[in-house]
Amino acid sequence: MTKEDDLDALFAGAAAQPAIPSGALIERILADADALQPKPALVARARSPRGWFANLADWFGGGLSLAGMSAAALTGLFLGVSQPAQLVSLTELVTGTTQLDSLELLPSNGSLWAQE
Amino acid sequence: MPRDTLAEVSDETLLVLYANGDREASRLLTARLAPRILGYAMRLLADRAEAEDVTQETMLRLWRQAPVWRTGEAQVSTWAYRVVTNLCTDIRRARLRRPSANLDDAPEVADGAKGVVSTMIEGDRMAALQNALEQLPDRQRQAVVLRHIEGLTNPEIGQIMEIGVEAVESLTARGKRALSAVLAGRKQELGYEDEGEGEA
Repeated sequence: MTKEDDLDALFAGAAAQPAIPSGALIERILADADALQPKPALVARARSPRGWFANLADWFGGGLSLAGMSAAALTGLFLGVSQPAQLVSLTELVTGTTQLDSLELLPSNGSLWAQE
Repeated sequence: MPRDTLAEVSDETLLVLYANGDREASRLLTARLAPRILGYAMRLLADRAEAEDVTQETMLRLWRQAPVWRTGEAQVSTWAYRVVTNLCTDIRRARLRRPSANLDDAPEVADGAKGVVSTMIEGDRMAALQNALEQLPDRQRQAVVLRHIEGLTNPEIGQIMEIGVEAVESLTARGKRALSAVLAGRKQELGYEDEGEGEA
């Protein structure tokens, strides 16, 4: 064989005969592919450092509950301290009592001397 | 992703899809690459069992490479051909280091006497080509197979063999000359003279 065309014909013949992988080989390759295939990553929430306020909020059932309770407590304190006129008259109407300007829980020295 | 949709997708995109968990992508990539890898490995090794092992190993390395594949740097097929080339070189070197090869270890190639038959068929010609390829130095064999049987361009072969285009041209030219010389003595045996005479 000296003619280049003959060699090219041989090459063309070889190229026209593709190798056909056996079923067993394909199974082995696909088994490797399945075993090595990356699994979709689970996105985990990063845990932030928790302060005392977050723990307190959890204890009350969450930040919203804690905010509601705080607002209610502040409102009650405001009403108790300022004693709005409408509220006083309503209290008198409901309870039959009058407004207390002051309440002496411990008798002062002066009142003790007065009794003597 | 459905197979019909993936049919038009590039090898590189399929590899990225595989890395993202698409099982169908690995099926399609195997269907595309495995026959080419196996064919090339068989040409270099002349042994189907070894060529199948090389094919599996190459695909295994591809699956491992998928999550860290750098897009746009190299074609997947070029990368695979390079892996096959290196694996086959290692196997052939290991063959040479064996103290004595018995008959069972001999590559499955046609011997010289087998071709002396009255009617030449295509299978004999292919066996003769394989036999002649076996007699080339490794680098020439790789270059000739990649250029003339796998149909790659010289720049692609240069990337695979990690040499320049001029070196590829030199290897393929010397390889073809050597093949012609090896096959020259078998021209009549392979039926080319008969065809020539018939045409004349």
